[in-house]
Amino acid sequence: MASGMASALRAAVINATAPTGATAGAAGTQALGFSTSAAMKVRLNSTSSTATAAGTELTGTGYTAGGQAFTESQTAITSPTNSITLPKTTVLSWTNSSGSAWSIQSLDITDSAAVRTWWGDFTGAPVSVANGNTFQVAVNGISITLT
Amino acid sequence: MADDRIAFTLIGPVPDGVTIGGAVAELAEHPGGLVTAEIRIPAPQPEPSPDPLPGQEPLWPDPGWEDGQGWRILGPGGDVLDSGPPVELEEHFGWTDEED
Repeated sequence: MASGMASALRAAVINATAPTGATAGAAGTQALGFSTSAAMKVRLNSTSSTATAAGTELTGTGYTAGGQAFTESQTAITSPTNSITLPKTTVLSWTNSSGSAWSIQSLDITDSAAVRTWWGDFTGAPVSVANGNTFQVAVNGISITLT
Repeated sequence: MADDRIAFTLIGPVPDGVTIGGAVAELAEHPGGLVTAEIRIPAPQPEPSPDPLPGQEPLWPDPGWEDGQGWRILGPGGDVLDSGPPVELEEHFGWTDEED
């Protein structure tokens, strides 16, 4: 299944670690540009996301546009060869009350301002969730790896 | 969840945070102005059980999840209709442990 970092995040990593800063010749220490003041979110899509664009977001009762916020932070890793798994202890859950089936293909992780960071297809996608049913992502059901 | 139990109260110079027999002393001021150290024994915590008894709320980790499940679909009655493995979001730069 396709997955990876959003193009903007790739560029931000390079910018933050090269002399692109506001001070002439300095590193771009203005950080990666993502909001740190509110929870990141998981956005669900009916089509695949790519590095340059999010998929088509789900709609209908039971799904809040923009996605569902994480309720806790995961422990930061100390080696880039480790993975971060999400969510930490609280299952992500959506109950489809839209009146028709959801077809879930992919997810995006975004900051609180809807800026994308990571994207990927669900294994087994598309996942069809009939009206009245609940789609859940397990604790540690999302794994982020940079190798 | 049950409150911690106050096993006994000492009146004397027991510093806050001192561990006595596995319990932790906490300074507290009582009526009359006495500063005491209460020895609190944490209330027993329930152990996560893979098979909660009927009527019990499932404890984290949710025993309804099976190993290797990353997502699932529940019917209105809570029965698992479908499931799949975790989502792997990966970007490969070709790093190795030796280069860390």
